[in-house]
Amino acid sequence: MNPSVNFENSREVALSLEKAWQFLSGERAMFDVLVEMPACPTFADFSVFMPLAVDAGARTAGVGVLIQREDATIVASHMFGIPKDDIQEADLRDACAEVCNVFSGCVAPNIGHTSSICIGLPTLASSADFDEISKGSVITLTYRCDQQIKRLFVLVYGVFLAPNNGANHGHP
Amino acid sequence: MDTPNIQLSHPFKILIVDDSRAIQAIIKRAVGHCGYEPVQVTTASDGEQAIEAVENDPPDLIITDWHMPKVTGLEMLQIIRQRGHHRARVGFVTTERTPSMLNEAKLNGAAFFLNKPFDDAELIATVRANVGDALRDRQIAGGSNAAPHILKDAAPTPLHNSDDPVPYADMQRALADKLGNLPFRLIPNEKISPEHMTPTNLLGLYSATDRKGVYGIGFMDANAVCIVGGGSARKTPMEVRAAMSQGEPDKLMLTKAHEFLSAMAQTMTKTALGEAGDVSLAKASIVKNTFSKLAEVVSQVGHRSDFRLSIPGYGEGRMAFFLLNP
Repeated sequence: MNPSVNFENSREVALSLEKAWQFLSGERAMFDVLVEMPACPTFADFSVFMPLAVDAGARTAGVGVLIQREDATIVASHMFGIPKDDIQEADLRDACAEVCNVFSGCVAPNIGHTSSICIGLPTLASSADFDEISKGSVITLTYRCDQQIKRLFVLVYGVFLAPNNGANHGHP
Repeated sequence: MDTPNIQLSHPFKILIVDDSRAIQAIIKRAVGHCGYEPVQVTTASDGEQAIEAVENDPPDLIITDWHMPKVTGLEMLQIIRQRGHHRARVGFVTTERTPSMLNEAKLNGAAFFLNKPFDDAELIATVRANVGDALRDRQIAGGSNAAPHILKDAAPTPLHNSDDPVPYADMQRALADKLGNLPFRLIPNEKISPEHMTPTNLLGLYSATDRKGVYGIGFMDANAVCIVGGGSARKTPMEVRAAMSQGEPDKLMLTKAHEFLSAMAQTMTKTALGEAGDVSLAKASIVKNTFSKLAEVVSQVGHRSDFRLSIPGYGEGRMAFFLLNP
């Protein structure tokens, strides 16, 4: 068992992700925990990452949220309270960054056996950033939601390597 | 939301601070149903903008995120309090859950914390509970009788232990007196240990008229000397950082730090353990971290006050005050 992730609470975290998704999108959803067979998801239209400093920066863990455009539109429309057709690109980026922020708040307390986790700022990754993160980081747990229009993934990184170019802070 | 509206003689001003426009929109919608009329809502995207907004038009309530670029919610709270804005209630709507962090915000006067995700009713109830007393004077006679709840625990928790030689509030005041308008962040109760010490440190020995021998000790690491001394002397951040990187405060910084230690004597006169008569700084000198007596002092268990001080652009340093003969 990987010592950097508290697997015992993964179902609890999944439930909190469901509550968070309802808050953010106004829709119900169920998240599955993929422990035995960690998925290796591919880049999504809105791939947002959050660094988590563990034990005063001794280790950097992270959370990644992969959202396809259709679902991003649903979330942004609900959060801004405006029709989907009126949603702009910047609104999508803003909403998805906040999804990552709120999801990170659900995941962070269970990232390891420590009480010292410092949440950073969400960053929107490009395809190149995503590749760099995938190569240098270690996914320890994956939550998957199949009920959206497209699949929604929440990736928990035991070790997270931010891309060198310093991807853009998610909230424009 | 079916909350009856309470008519106010002038608007209930709310400032929402969050780097997400989407969250701003959610909070704005919710507080629009808080049951007061009229409500005036403004927004800011980070702590820096919020400080400016507070200076221009002080709100009744600030609802802020914690993690934001430039200036965080906590730093914003500390800065507005240091600048004398004590009337505005400040509540956090955040993903931050770390007890020590939340406690720090509470020490700085945060009125409430609400974790994301939240529901509208929860936010509205929290807002009403925390501003009801402040808005009571504004209620127009004949309005709704649905008086809001008053949060009994809205006052900050005690800032120090009863045997602290230097209470947190006194240290805040002393620093504000020396640093003027420089925004600083003061974190209490982080015990300094021998491994935290810089190669050279400033050590002050206090004597008291009613006590024999050394009454107390004040400790400032070289960084704290540069920050307090440099800040008091209105040195530029670059000058202070240069001194810190060399571990060598200049003569003026040392003089100002010496004055600061001297000023702290007054706060050490009266503790929960009793009065010690007149306390004064008998001597202050630079000592190396290898000085054996120093390690002994910083290992002391009780009767101590430890602080971490940081100033944006300068850096951070550590200070501690010990009573040896309480």
